[in-house]
Formats: sequence, structure tokens, C-alpha cells
Amino acid sequence: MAESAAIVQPVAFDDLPVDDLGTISIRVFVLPPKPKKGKEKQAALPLDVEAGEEFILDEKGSTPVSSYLESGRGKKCVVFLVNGQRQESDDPSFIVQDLGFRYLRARMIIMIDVDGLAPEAIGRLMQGSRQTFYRGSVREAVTKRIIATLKSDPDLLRLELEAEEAVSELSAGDEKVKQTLDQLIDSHHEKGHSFVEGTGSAGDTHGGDELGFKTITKGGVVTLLPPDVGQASDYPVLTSQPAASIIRLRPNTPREIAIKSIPSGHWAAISQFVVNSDNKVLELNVKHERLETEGKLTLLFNETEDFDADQYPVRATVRVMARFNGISEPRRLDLNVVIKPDTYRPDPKLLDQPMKLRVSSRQPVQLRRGDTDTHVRFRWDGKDRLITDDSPNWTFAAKLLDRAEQPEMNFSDPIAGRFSLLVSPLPEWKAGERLVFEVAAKGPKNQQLIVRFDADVIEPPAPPEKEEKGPRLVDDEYKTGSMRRPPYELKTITRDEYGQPCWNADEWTDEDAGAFVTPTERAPLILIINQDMGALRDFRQALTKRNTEQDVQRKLNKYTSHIAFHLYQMYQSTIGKKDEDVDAADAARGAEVRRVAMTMLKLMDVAEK
Amino acid sequence: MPINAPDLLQRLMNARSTAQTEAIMAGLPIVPPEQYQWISPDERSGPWQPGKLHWMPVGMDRGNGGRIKLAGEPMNPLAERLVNGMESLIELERIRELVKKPNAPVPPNPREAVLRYFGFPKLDSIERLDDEERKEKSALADKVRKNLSITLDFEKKVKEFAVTIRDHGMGQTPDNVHRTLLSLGRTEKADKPYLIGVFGQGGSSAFSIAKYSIVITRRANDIRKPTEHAGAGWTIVREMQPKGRRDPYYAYLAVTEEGAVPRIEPQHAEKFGQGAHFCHIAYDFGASDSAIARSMYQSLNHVLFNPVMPYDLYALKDTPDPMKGSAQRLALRVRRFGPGVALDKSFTSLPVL
Repeated sequence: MAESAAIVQPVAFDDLPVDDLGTISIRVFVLPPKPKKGKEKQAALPLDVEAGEEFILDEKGSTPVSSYLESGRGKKCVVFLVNGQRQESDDPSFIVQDLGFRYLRARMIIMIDVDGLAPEAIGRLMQGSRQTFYRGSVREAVTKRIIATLKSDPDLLRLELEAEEAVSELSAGDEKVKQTLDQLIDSHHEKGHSFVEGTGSAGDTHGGDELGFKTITKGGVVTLLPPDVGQASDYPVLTSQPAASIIRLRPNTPREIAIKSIPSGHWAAISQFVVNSDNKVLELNVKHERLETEGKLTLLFNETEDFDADQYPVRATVRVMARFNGISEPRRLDLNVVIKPDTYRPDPKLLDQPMKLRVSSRQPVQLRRGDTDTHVRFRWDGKDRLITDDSPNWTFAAKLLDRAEQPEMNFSDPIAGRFSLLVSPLPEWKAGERLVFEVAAKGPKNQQLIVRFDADVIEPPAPPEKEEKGPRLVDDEYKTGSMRRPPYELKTITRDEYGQPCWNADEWTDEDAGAFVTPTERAPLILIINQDMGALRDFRQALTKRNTEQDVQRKLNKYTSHIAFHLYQMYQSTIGKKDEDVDAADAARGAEVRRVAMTMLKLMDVAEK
Repeated sequence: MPINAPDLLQRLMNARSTAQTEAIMAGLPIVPPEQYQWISPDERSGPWQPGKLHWMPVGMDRGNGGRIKLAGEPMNPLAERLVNGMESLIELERIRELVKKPNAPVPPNPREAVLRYFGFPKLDSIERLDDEERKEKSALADKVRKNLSITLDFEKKVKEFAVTIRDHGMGQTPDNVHRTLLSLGRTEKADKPYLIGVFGQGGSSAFSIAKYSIVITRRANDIRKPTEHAGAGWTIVREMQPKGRRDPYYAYLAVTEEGAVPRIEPQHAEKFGQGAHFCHIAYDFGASDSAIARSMYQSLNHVLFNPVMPYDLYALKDTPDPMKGSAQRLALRVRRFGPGVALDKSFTSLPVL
């Protein structure tokens, strides 16, 4: 007899629907950097501060967000709220590692409101202690949503780039030291030390020149790249001044950029100097000029009358190519230019009855494949509250035209009429596809404002480059030519790295000013400056009290370049000579460098006073 | 001192130290734990002594230590107590609404309830309103703020903190205190979507990090039923460590075998007004200096990052700091900086798949 089976559906306990966890809301705050020392007064409370606001606005702590966190140590800057109460938190590592905003970590707070999640999902997250969420599948899904939303947010990317730009410009000190040192060495050569021309390769101790001739037969374009790209190559390479990884350009304001060679003496051997602007940014005009010691670029972004300021920041790449006499392989330098104005235009007048809706991203919009959303910017002239009210009169909607399957699309809340459409790319989209989207603002009485935009699907950006860059061959073969001055590497050492040989000793001490390491087949001459030498530290501390940050840096650069030059000369005097007692000779060199350093510090100190 | 002494309420309300609390207790007819302990619903260690106060386990559960010791860090229990205060204010308005309109729809969530009953939206969103409206909504929020406060006191001589959370919400009748404020997990909150808590025992964790907790409550006159007592209920909570056992539990002073708390007669209770007063004495902040007062502002604003309702903080001073959460502070800061300098960006109702 066949048995009949009945499927009993649970009544009181529903299974958690996997595909319907509900919604979350995200709010991101990024505060500006803390004012530099001496400029705190400029960041004082605003004059129109309202009653009761003084205490709220009073900011103390080591970072811009310190006074908004539970402790002053920068923890818990990502908070998850249930009914406004913190139930879970993440530290800045989420911002750095998962979102990739390294420079914003001390200025950013992310608030995630999970009240919109399905009650069952909240039930899975909440713990009896109410101090953390259960780190299971719901938490993972929430995290994925946050990353997809924020990782490619254009406003956060803009702020990250700005911060990076500031750091890049600050960290150009080493380059300045090198340039000064190059000049010192060049002028030293001109004063009579005839120097055999070299190749710029790692110092080859064989042959007639202790500093090395070498003919390299590999080829291709040589540029500064991370060590895992292309093949190892050699100087000269092109560099820019400022040496920032991003060149900031203000609209309608020309900016001059110097293109130099490393080593700088090679510039005279330049036979060809070509500059290509970005053909996707036609407003960017680039003029170039070849001067005696460097190349000069003049960048100008011509903002047309009908240019929408919401398109900022505009990014462009300017490519510089140069050939050096005797070196077949051209050298290449790519300049990343970010164009944006200093201040935003005043907010537009917004209406209770909106009339306009338009796309303000540059078209065609580039839709990246991958896990993160693409943000498409819009503007309308409706008041923000038409959308953000608890029961809004207006809503935004979006659809992909001529396609059956729709991607997941969401909107950011408008701020002063500006908002973004977030498009989560579908896996089946292929790079090169052209898509057409329609966005509508829908209001009462069937009012609708509609706009369309084109979008091109592109591959996601390559992972960020590693920091250590060097000359790399990318293709073909080439033959190196001549070099007027031998190569060297300038390095600095700090207390943390003292565990290395210094002259004849096993390690460095606060007494050591610097040392050189003679070239080998694998490495060029290395000049090492001790940044933690006791007297230098005292001098630096004294400088900080009565100088601006830039002046301090300039003076320290001067010190470093002169000590490095002394080491360089000291090395030269050893060429072709054989020390009878190597230890004693090294000890004497160490003592001499220290004496020179102390004398220089004393002179600089006297000059200060 | 008789249980219904006229000055008892004032002494309970003023008590901020161990010495003051123990002085009150010394004058009361309290049966010591050696003579009476509630062991289980069916078992006591000694006979009930009518007319005297007995130590009764919170939640009528001698194993309540595991459910009360959930604090983790000192600010969380205080945040829970404040949330209870917010709920008391919302519930008072809900009851009033039902008195007038028995079929009034249930507010779908706490934010909606606050908007309906107090007229202001989420505190962080007020900063995004136009000037006039922002001022109007802020004024409404500030008016409500006066009904909920947290006060920090410090007894310098003995380096002892006391934290008092006071709300002027619905309050409880003396006969109901042991079933509500002193219960554990006996809650109808989960069925009331407009209330905030879920587990119904969060605030109790404050008992575990204070030496004594004084609880006073009185039902709001306009929602009190005619048959209910018009006075105030009160009690003192403390940790009990039975000899020979490793599991401490938390007990309160009860006046009946069923667990009802002692009461202050209506004629003496009027000055208390309505609502609830929780004073946690010798509260353990992990440090014993006045720096706690400075960090309390930041910490509470961070734990209650975007609270449903604002409240006042009196941290070792007579003037209050308005507490609206770090989200409101950040939104205000960004508004002051202006666009282009700082960023305040939001995404609402993003689906989680």
C-alpha cells in the first residue's frame, strides 16, 4: 500500500530567507586633517556657533575623529547600530584593508544602521551581551554590501587622492637631497676630476673604471615600475618635479612641471623629447619645452562655459617619452593628473517642485566589472527632503534599457541636489559592451523627470602598485650608452635598523653619522646617512621649535646632501688604494664623517642663532 | 526607622555613597541572609518575617548571576539603562494615545514612535534640515531631553562613583516593580515594535558593577488605574555571595513573599513626580579619578551613537551636556565645515543579499 506523505510547513518558526535579508543604511563622515601646528587658531570655533554647540564642537585628540570615538586611540571607527545603539564595531583596519583608504583611516567614521534588516536576520546577529554581532553569514553579507558600496565611492576616492597627494609632496625630501647631491657631484667633476664615463649600471669593479662600464643588450621602454613588472633595467630614467604620484591641477590655471633625468647629468644627452596629452580629456592642454637641464611642461585645463562642476575631479594621464644619445631604448614617464577646483560652487537653489534631472558624470560612464559598485553622479533641483523624508513624496528609480536582466541598482541620499546611482555589475557583462540606462525621479500626480546615459563596461582597475619602484625594462632590446657620473644609492638608517655593519663595527650607534658601502657587481655605491645620530636629533628638535616644517626639511636636506657628498668623495679617494689596516682605516673614516657632521651641525646651529 | 518613614524617600533619592546607603539600611528592619534566603520557588532557608524586608533574588532566580553579569565594559549597562528610560517615555505616550484612541495603529519602530509622539526625526538627520526647521526640531528634541538624564557623582574621600539614571516616563506602581524593573527576560518588548530593547534584561547588568543600586519608581498619575497604588515603590539591590558557593547572585529588598517591593505612601511620594530613578553606587569604572567625567561624554555618545531620544549628562557638574550621539555631533561638525571640506554621505535602504 502506498503511503501518503504530508509535508508539514513550520508555522511558528520561519526559515531565514537567504535572498531577503532586508536592508542596511550607511552613513560616512570624513573630517578634514587636523590643522598643522601653529595654525590651530584658524580652526577655532566658528563665530556663529549656536548655544550649546561649543562643547559639541570642541575637538581634542590625536586625530580628527578622536573626540568622536569611545577612546582616543582611533578604535571602533566603524559602528553597527540597532535602534541607534552601537552593537558591533570595527577598527581602522577595515577602512585600510577592506576599503583601501589608507590615508583616510584617521579621519573617517562609518555608521551602519541595520534596523532595515529582516527581524530574523537581526536575531541572528544580536548576542545576549549586545556587544558584538555573531560573525556568521548575515554579518558577512552586511560586510560585502558595505565594501561594494564604499570601495569605489567617488567622493571617498577623491579625498583619498587628495590626502595621498599631500603625503607625496611632503615625502619629496629624499629626491631633493639627491638632486642637491647630484649637483655637488657634478660641480665636483667639472672642477677637474676627470671621470671616465660609465653606463649607469650597478658598479662593475672589473675593467678600467672601478665604477663600471657595462653594455646591456636587453631593450624596451624603461620606466620606474615595481620590481614585479618587466625586467630589471638601469638608469637613466625620467622623473618629475614635483615628484608626487599625482599632479594636482586647478581649472583655468596653468601649472608648470619639470621633467628631469635621474641622474640629472644625463639630461644633456637627450636627443628626443615627446609629450602626449590624454585624448580622453580634450580640455587638457599640454605644452612642452626642452631646456638645458630639464624639460618644462605647462599643463592647462580649459574649463568651458557649460562645463558641469560635478564632473570634477577629472583624471588624465600625460605621457612623456625621451631618448638619450647612445641609448636606443626610450625612457617613459606617465604623469597622473587630477583636475579639480579649490572650492565647490555654491549650492544651487532647490525647489519643492523639481524641474530638472541630469547626469553629471562624464559620459560614457565607465562601468567596472567586479565586486564593487560603480557610482554614477546625478543632479536635480529638488530639495533633499523630497527624497530623504520618512515618507518621501519623490523617489528615484533606474533601469537598464533593452536588457531582460537588471543589475542591482541603488541610490545615495541627495546632498544639496547631488546624488549617485550605484550599479552592481552583472558577471555576464563583457568589457567593451555599451549599455544604456534610464533614471527617473517620480513624484506625486505621476510627475516624472527622466534622463538617460550611456555606459561602457570596462575591466576593474589593476591592483595598486607596490611602492618600491625602480627602472624596469618592459619590452625589446636596447643598448646602453654613456653616463657622466657613476651611479649611487642614497639610503638613510634609523635606530630600528641599527643591527647592520657600520664601517668596522657590527652595528650602528647614535654616534655614527654615516658610512659608504663600496660597489659590487650587484649593487652600486651606497651612501648611508644616520637620521638618528644623537647630535642630529638634538639639532632637529631645536630646529622644530623655531622653524616651519618646510624650513626644517630644507635644512635637514642640506645636511644630508653634504654629508652624503663627503662620503662620496671619501669613497673616491679609496679607488685604486689598498688599506694596510682595513679596520683602522674604516674606524678613521667613521670618525672623520662624524667630525664633518658635527662641524656642519655646529655651523648650521650658529647660522640659526 | 520604619519602612514608611516620611523622610525615607528623600534619603533614598539623595544617597550617592556606600556609607549613605548602609546608613539607610541600618535603620530598616532587614532580615539578614543568614536568617532568610530564597532558594527556589518551593524552598526558603528560613521563615518569612512579616513586616520586615527580605533579600529576594532579582527575577526570582537564584542563578541570576550569569544573566546579570553581562556588562563587559562600564558604559554599556549605563547605555542600556538610558535606553530603558527612552522606552519609558515612549511607552507613556503610547498609553496616553491608546486612552484617547483605542484603535490607534502601533508605531512600526522606535523612530516612528518618537516622530509621532515628540515631533522630531532621527537626531542625526536634523542637521540636514533647513535653518528654520532645524531650529524647530532641535527645540522639540531639547524639550524631551529634560525628561531623561544621567548624573555622575564622585565621593572624593573614598574615591567612589555613583551613577544615577532618572527618567520622567511612565514609571511603575509599587505592586508591579518586581514583575517589571526587577524581572529578567520577562518582557513584552519583542511584541512592541516601537520599543528598543529585545531581551528585556540589558539594564540589569548595571547591578553587577555597582555595590548597591537604589531603585525608586512611581507610575504617572494620568495613566494609573484607580485601583493601583499612587505611591512610589523602592528597593535596594546588592550582590549576595552565599557561603560555600561559587555563584553570586543579585537580590533586592522585598516586603512580601511574592516579591513586591516596599512603598512610599502617596502623601510622601508626590515630590518624586513620576518615572524611575536608578542610582548605582560605588560603580566600577575601572579607574578612580575624575578623568571618567571627561571620557563619559565621548563614551556614551559613542555607545548610543545615534540614540532614538536625546538626554542630559551631568558629569560632576550642575549644568548638563546635551547628549545626542556621535552621529549628530559629526553631522553638525560637517555642516559647520561646509561641503568640499568635510564629507557626510549616506546610502539608505541598501539591500543585503
